[in-house]
Amino acid sequence: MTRRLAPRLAAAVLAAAFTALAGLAGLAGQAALDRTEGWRTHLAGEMTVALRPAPGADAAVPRAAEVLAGTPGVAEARALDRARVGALLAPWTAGTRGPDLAALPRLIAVDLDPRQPARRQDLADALSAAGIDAVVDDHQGWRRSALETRRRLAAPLIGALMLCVAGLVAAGGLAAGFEASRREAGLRTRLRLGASQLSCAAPIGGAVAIDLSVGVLAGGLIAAVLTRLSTLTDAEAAAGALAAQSILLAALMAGALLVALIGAFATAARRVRELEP
Amino acid sequence: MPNSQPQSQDLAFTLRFAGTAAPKRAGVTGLEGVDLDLAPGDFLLVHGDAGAGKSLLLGLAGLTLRPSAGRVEVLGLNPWRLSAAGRARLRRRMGLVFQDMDLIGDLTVAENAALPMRIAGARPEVYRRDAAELLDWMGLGGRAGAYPQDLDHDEQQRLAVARAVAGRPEIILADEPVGWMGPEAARRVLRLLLQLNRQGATLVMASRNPDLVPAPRRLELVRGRPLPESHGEAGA
Repeated sequence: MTRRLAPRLAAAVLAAAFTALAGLAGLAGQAALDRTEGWRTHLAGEMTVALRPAPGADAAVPRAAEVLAGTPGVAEARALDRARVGALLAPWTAGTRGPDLAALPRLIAVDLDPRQPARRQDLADALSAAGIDAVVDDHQGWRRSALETRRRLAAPLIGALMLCVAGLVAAGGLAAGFEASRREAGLRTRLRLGASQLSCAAPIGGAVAIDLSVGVLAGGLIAAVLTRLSTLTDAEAAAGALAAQSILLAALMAGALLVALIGAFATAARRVRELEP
Repeated sequence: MPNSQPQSQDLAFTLRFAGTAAPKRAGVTGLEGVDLDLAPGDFLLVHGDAGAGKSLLLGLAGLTLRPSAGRVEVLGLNPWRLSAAGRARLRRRMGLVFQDMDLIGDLTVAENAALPMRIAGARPEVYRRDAAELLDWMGLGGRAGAYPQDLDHDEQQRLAVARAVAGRPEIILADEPVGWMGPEAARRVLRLLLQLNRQGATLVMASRNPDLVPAPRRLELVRGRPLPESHGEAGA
């Protein structure tokens, strides 16, 4: 009995492990991609105007903010506190002593009107017309960086999912192989009596399907529990995010089961074919 | 190659060997140069010493062995040029009694007996009823719920014969069908096989005993080679 159950249990455990890994990879990937997308969207909705550090730059900041706020397509323009700018730029501009605030550019954050956002050139023209010497940054570089981060995240995630797919196919194949070996004498007799290969392979696939379903279900639950326990999705505790995660997890589980079953049926069919004289 | 199932009554030959050979297996002589034509309703007794090639010949006829040379035709078709599904359909028209019996240990006696009918797609009430009748005839009616491993050799062999004839096959291939049986059971089983043969089934029986049963056609094998076929008396 133990010898009969051990391979079935092993298949279920393997299926659970790979489904849990696939679920974690999928949910982590979704969270990471959501964040980079949020970052990119946020960056696209604002621009930064920098006034070069020069005598009189401090006095020009409120005027520049006023000009920018009056430009069509701008929702709000606010000067950033110099100390805050210094703190933001500290990692790049200073060592342990902190940055020289006088040498830093004066920054104005511009929130664009989402319905009809102003273009970079619109802001540059408005500032130029007001006689203010400033550089407008539309965050193209940051947005490219966000896209690049998404691309870099996607490759290892797809790799992890592919690995799980391979593992699930192997688990299905392993389970079907054991089941076919256990039934070999009976299968041989059935084939000799004229049973079709399909009718011989189907019960093997059916038996394995039950084990794999249990494994995939367990793996999905493990992934769900681990995801909720970790800080991975704390920021997205909203109901919408939870629903999206559930749908993603259910899709991953269905995919995992399908893939494992394909592996199981392919192995069962191959083993039965080999038994036919 | 047509894949249809001709009716054996319309065929000149149900089983045909032409220069057929079977490969040697570990410790067993192969089979060479078998030429044989069997018409519907023919009865051939294949005899010879142990290792003469009787089981190989039945294996070739029963499509459990692929010929290494020559040709085998079953019910007008070359089975090895058919698809696996086509071969399976052909096997369903044959009843095989294997020397090693090949009973399925996971199935009860009744389920083993009904298996060919189940495979052929018979309805459950039909195959259950027919299997019960057959088992009664074979003296196994009281063991229908038992498993093959609970039967003695005599009973296992009767079950193997019951399974072979269960689907009313057009060809019956029986390898030492009564080797383990007592005289009374053997007589009963041989009577059943001969009755099915008289009803039109082609019967090929293999035995070490050349006097097992009076047979109209006899083929003796010696170390894998057939001696010229002899024609004897009609079946009892």
